[in-house]
Amino acid sequence: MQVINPVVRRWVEAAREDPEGFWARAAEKLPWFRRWDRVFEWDFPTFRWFIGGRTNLAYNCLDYHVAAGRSGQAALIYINERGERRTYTYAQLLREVRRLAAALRGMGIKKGDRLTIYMPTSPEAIMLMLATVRVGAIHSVVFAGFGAGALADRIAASGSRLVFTADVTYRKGRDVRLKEIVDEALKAAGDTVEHVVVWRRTDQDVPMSPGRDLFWADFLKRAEGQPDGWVEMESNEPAYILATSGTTAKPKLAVHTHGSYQVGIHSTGRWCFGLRPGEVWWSTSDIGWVVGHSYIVYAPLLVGCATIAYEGALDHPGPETFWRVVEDFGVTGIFTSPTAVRLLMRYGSEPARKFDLSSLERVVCAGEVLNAPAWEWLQKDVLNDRVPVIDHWWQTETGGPVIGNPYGLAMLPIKPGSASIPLPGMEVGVMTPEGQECGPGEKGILVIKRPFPSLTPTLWGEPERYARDYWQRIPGRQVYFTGDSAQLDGDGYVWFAGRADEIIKIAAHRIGTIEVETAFLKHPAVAEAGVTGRPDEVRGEVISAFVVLKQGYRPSEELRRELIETVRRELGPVAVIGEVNFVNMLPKTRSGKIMRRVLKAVILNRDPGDITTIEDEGSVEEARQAWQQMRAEIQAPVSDS
Amino acid sequence: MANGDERTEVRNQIVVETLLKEERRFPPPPEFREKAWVKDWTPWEEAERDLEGFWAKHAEAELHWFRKWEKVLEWNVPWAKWFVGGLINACYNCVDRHAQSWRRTKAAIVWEGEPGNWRVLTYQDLHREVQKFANVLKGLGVQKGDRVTIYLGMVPELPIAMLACARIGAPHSVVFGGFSSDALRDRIQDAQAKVLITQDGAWRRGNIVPLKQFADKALEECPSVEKVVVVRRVGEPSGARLMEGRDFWWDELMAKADPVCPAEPLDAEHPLYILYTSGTTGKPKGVLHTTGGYLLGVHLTTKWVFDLKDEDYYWCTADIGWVTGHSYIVYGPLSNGGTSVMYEGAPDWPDRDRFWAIVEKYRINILYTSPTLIRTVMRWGPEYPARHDLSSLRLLGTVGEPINPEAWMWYHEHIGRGRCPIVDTWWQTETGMIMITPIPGVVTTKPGSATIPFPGVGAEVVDEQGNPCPPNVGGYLVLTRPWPAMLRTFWGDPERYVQTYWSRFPGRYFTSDGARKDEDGYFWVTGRVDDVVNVAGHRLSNIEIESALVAHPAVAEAAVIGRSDPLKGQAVSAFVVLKAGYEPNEGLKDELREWVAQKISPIARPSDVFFCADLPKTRSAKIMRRLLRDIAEGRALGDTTTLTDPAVVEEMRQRYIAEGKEEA
Repeated sequence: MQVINPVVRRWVEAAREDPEGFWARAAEKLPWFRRWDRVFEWDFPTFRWFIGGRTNLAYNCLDYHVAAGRSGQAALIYINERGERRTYTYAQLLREVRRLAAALRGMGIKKGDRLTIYMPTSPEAIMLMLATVRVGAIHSVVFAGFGAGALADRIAASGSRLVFTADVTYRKGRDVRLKEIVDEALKAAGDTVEHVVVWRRTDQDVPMSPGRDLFWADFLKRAEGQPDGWVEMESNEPAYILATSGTTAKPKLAVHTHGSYQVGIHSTGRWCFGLRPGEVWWSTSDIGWVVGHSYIVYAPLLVGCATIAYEGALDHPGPETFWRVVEDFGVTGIFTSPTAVRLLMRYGSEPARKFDLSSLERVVCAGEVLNAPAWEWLQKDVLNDRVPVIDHWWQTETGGPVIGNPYGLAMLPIKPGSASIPLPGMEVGVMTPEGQECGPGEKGILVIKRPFPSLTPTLWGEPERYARDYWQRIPGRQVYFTGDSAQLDGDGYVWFAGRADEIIKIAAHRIGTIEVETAFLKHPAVAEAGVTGRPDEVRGEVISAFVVLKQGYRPSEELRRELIETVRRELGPVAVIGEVNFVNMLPKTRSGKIMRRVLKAVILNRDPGDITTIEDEGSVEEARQAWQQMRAEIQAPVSDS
Repeated sequence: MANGDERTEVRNQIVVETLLKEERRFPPPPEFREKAWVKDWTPWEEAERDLEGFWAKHAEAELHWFRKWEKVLEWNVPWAKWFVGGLINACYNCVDRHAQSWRRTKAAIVWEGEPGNWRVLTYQDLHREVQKFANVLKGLGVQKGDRVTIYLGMVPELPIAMLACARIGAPHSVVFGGFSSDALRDRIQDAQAKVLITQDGAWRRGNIVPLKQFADKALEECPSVEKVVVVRRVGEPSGARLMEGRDFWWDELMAKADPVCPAEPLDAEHPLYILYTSGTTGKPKGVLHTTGGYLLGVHLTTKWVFDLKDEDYYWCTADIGWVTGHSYIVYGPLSNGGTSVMYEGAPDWPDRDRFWAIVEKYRINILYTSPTLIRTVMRWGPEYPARHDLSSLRLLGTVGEPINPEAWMWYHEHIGRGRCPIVDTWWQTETGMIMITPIPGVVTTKPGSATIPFPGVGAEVVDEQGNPCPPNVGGYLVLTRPWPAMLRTFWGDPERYVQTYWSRFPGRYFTSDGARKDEDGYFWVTGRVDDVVNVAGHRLSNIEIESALVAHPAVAEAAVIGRSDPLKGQAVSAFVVLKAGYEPNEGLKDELREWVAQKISPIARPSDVFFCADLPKTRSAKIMRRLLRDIAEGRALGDTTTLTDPAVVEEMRQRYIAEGKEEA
């Protein structure tokens, strides 16, 4: 057990011995208007943290820093793919947020009201999030890449009074129009919506519905005569809700709170990422995802960082874009996704070499497993082993990291392909679906045994569903079901194998999709791979693989044989490959995760909407679109690109 | 600045009688004193005990040196060398050392454009931009010692260009963006600049000033200029055209520039910049400032006079084209790691709220502006500032000319809301740094007095023979000791330097300002000694008469000159701008005459009062009393090229003549 250094061991043990004392100490690192009465109460399946404590998430992000003399520090650096750059100091950001808070009050928004933000990652959207939280209202941000159906579901589920949007968002050099999508969505889900506010960025015409729709400037005028102060919130009162799934007509809305969520993300931001005041932090995600909420907006501002918000494609107009941001702004920390890493990897390391990356101290990565070959490329080829590339694991529901390398406390050795250990304060386990604890090396389902502060305490409006979907999945055990399959090694490191419901069962062996994909990536020709199981009369299932080749490689029978050989060498003869399909791209969620259910639907020739176990972000309509594209692609010969 | 013939006139004058009494006192608020950098008299005592030791101690503690000096001061009157043998770089001190510290992500410059757009440059951003532009300059052939003329409006590229010059040891010569092509030509020629940096056009009250076209005209007679860099600010409507091979767009050069350019270790006496003081007549005078001493002077005065703290938003409203902007927008605040706000446009664009909207928008803590601006705002009325939340302000400053007590009180009440100490600072282009000033945590202020010399500064009021004047007797303000930020010479004209400053009172620096010291040792600067009215042998300061006039409820602004009078030698002639709501009439003229007689003395009673809509001012907002004298004495107008609007003065002259005839 010497892999875990004494510092980390001390933290882990302290949390295990006295979890409440441990989290109370973490909470003391933040300012409170009033201290809590009790640290923790578990009223199964829900729970509360820091009961009676009074705070305001947005106050702690802004006013607190300005009052502490940090008004001239950069708070938000906005960049987009068109080269526009804007830096806001803490004082400026606070001023804008106060104005928006007053305008929200002018629109009649009160504590507890919901509003939907369907906007690009932009200062306006981020300021609106903070203003909403400031007045005690609840935001529901919907990723501005979702279609009208997904948006309608989310608006309806949240019961929003207002919807905020923009005329367009920028994507790969194009204007993607948004207002029309809102109009479409409101035909289906407009019951609670009183007004739509449109942030206009172009001079193109925008369809406006008189009486219902207003432009941003008119919205700002509502601030006249309205107070712009913050509302003191009890620790467990909701700050925001965020949809996690588009499976059914009714998405699940995770709830994150003012006090406990804040303590969670602030703590893990420091322990796992080492966030510190004044640094330049770039989370490449979108505000539509939980990563954007916790690690573009809230945690970096709570800590006092300068946080970068980037709108657009990371490789537009070229792969230099990404690395230029690092050099130009002296980025010290990056939070990105394996998809983004693999995207950049396709261009090779030449673009990165043109830039001075010496300001960078670490890269953290989450969203999917960072396969060892992608890790190796970034850590070794690009960064010359100078700084660590750190994988970690969490979900929308957990608010922040659960499994990770405690880089900010005392870094542990990196094992490429593993997300490292359960962070201090996180009590997790690996169990069979029947509730048996798995030993080291045994694959099972990752479960959380005890709530921690940033874990969603309920689903908005659906407490029974919360109990059913998370806490009652494993019979007889009161544990939170993450839905991910994993195993622990002898050092206590967690190795994820894939979604529990995507495990491929070949002749009684359970093989994770990620294990197979990683094996494919070991071959130098492979840029990306996605696998799923295909039913097989003899073996139960065999592997069906979809492979994207790197630039300069062409599909051939010989290559196909080589790939099969590579996987067999890595995983043994148990990894029976039924077929290898060469494709130009893999179907992905808008947050960049491979949609294996679409691969399955392609293999089974079934509509992906029929597959009811979709757990990750995305929506049925998008899955279906990808499915059609994939089917067309594997029927047509692959181009020589 | 006075011109030569006016100064000769002054030589014949003796002392200035002062009759205006000011009894109000404003001690430092205790809570301000408690947090201030300077809380007690220690710095003055230290400087008196050991002058060189005082400056050396702070040079060591406050600045970064590549190599420490061997000797603090070498003083062969009037030639000074400070920190002899020391190696330093002003840009490194203003940028690099902060970019390498926790201030990396702190806003260095917060810029607000006239059209309302804004830009924040953190120290990291500034570091990068400055290094790139330093490489651009090198690429254009600029070497250490070469002069670079900068003719820009208030755009972020202006401080970037200055700092880039300082980085590679190329002295800059900033020419105010409001100057004409003739003035620009004279300054380029005098400095023999190799490169000119200008912009396509500048925004001014919603209109475009075609700077590039002016520059093109000037360059017809400036063969020394090899390359021109043009900042794109307004785009096509500027009508700017680039000359192939000579002219380059700033952004295009910057896109290709290498972002690494280490700061050059320079001798402490290496020229930092040339700044021209007066172009109204004759050859402009290029005041030369050097690196080490200048930087120490502006650093320490910024820190102590403005009590500048890391959390402050500091706004000096001057144009960087003047010394105030050099010292107190760029070098002083940045050397301290401060956040310096700069504004591109006019205070009344798009409306008279603009300044106060900026104070509110950025939560300005420290505001440094001019008495002229304050008087203008007074004239507009208190309703404009009253509409805004000015609660962030904690310190106010003034610079440029003595402030009338009434304007001081108005500033105190309507802008400072009675809470903020006011620092009325006296200094000059030549002094480089603030010389006479309150230190806000220590010195009790009196409205209208710049109070006492900064620690280490020696100032005295002397009579015609150079003997100290008794309390409350006016005389000439002189500086009795060398100070680190003093000018070293005129560029290319050392004799004129000696002649102008050091020959009137040998061994002492002649400021050309009149002053008196009161019984508390407070200095009351009465204005340029050429701005003195001699009425029947009584020498009156026109500033004092102006202050009395402005104290009248109807008066917004006033300028007073001495008009030749066969009986009295000179007669007081007053030019008065009324506040909104007051009508000019004969009754009011009499009332104002009587008012002055009562406030000061019957001998100060103006012989004539002339109502006008505006006063003729230079582009740096100083009242041009020389032109008023021309008007009053019925002469043809002298050079009006530095006026904001020459036509106004000609119209005034015609009306003055007409009115005189009527009265006669």
